[in-house]
Amino acid sequence: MAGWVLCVTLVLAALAGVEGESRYEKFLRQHVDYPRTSTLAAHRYCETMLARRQVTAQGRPCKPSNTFVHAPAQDLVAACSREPDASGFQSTPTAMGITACRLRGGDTRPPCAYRARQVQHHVRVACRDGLPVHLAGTYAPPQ
Amino acid sequence: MELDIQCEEMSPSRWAELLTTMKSCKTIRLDDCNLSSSNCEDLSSIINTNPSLTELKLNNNELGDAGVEYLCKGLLMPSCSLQKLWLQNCNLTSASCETLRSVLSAQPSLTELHVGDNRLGTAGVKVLCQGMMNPSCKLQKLQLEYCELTADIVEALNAALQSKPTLKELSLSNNTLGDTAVKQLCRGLVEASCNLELLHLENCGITSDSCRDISTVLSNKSSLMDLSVGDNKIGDSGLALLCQGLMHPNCKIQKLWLWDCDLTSASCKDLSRLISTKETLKEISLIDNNLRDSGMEMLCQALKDPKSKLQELWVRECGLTTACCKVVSSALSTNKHLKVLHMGENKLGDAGVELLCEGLLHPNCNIQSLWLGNCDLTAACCATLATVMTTKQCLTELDLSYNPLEDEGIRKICEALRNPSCNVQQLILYDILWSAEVDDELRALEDSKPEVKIIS
Repeated sequence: MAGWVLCVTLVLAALAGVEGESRYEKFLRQHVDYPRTSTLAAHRYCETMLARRQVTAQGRPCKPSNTFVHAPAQDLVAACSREPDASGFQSTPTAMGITACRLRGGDTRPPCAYRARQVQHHVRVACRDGLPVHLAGTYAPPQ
Repeated sequence: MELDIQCEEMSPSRWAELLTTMKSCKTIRLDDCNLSSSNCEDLSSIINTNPSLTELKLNNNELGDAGVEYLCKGLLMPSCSLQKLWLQNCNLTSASCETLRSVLSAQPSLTELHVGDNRLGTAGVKVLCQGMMNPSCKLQKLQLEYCELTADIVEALNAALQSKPTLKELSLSNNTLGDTAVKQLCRGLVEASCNLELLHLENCGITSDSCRDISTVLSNKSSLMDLSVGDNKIGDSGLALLCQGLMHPNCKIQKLWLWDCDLTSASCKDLSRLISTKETLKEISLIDNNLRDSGMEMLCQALKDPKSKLQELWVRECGLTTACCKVVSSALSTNKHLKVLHMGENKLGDAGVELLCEGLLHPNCNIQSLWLGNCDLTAACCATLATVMTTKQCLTELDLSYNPLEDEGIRKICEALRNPSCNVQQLILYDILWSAEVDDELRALEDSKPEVKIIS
């Protein structure tokens, strides 16, 4: 039984490339990096991560902004059981480490150069079927 | 034969497999593949035994100085005819520069060297410059972004430039050079016999103080086609000085990057004159300058001038609102040359886009690529956008990222895309929330129309 479960898991893992990934898997790919990846050049975290996660690539215009959350996926899934706000989005109960990547440069053609900003913010998500599928934004903890 | 791999960790068996392929490749790109100095030993023999290899790109691999040492063994062989070498972000230090110097001095085939994002420092690059001084060196493109260079490098650079009439492109962006050094560099460039075509000095600590000297380069070097001083606080006064050189009849500038330069609407008078008189000017970027509606209106007047040959206008995040859209529309219905219009991150709103569409629909308008990301658009403007998509055969690229278009809006766009008279090939929809049903609809659309790419 355990062997069969393992087999199915492996097959599913193999299928979950960019082609045919679920919206939750796409959310994890584009927005969750936990623990925070240590990159060769610290000032190139955004460039490296966005390329590795296939957000930026040759033939794709540079994405103007993207946020990576440095918390386990389950912490974001937990946000989905919270009360939605007026816009229908749900926030994480605690602030978490994030890196906000913002495009810098004269155009949106690769190579894509970014400015990274690391803060502790609450994360707002849109959920479907109990899973986060869209990162709606982040905000500083109220003082 | 081309090898192009990015972000792939190499197992030993995969590496062995690739080595066999590499023996006959003309170009090799292994970007962020977790390569190290040991892989460089293998690469060195590839360089040695593959006479057709012209391009080697190894960016974002922790090769280190030891790795470069190995690579250069192959690079120094007479059989090597490598033309382009990319070693950005490879954890190199000044120690690599001695080996790179010998390559520069010994390999006349090497025309491009990209070593940005390495802590080479002024001392290291001084050594590189010595290599450039060798008459055997026929370098054309040198990229030294983020190399921890300081003002002291300019003397050595100028000496190298004097000796290198082959040099066409120089990038020193993201090094804290400062005005004194940049002025000195400009004087060196004017004296040098090279026909420099591209000069990038982004984020070099330049202020208006340097702009007179940069202006002199512009009026002296007719060869200079591509200038970027983005991310420097030159301000309106600096721009006014630059325009003296830009407007000079000798100046044949084609691409001008002035993003995040602390410009305001006050600069737009000079910029308008430039756009309407400099017929060589094809692309201008003014991203992240507070030009505001009044500034944009001046630029639009210039676009209406038949002498303007501008093809690409980047005014993302320029503090524009709905108020400027009528004038933009008017410019779009007159101007036939503009192909790319980038207006993202401006509060244009549905009303603004409706106005823009009027101009876009005019038969004179030849816009191919339209960018309206994060412009406060909703489903309300999508019907008109759909009309533009199915009417303007020239429109091939449309960006609507970050706008809360919702299912209703996306569905209208999809309908337009399905229409056979719609030629949009790239639809960019970053970070828009839609339902699972619409998600399926988008995928089905891509399947049924393979020439269409939906990017999200």
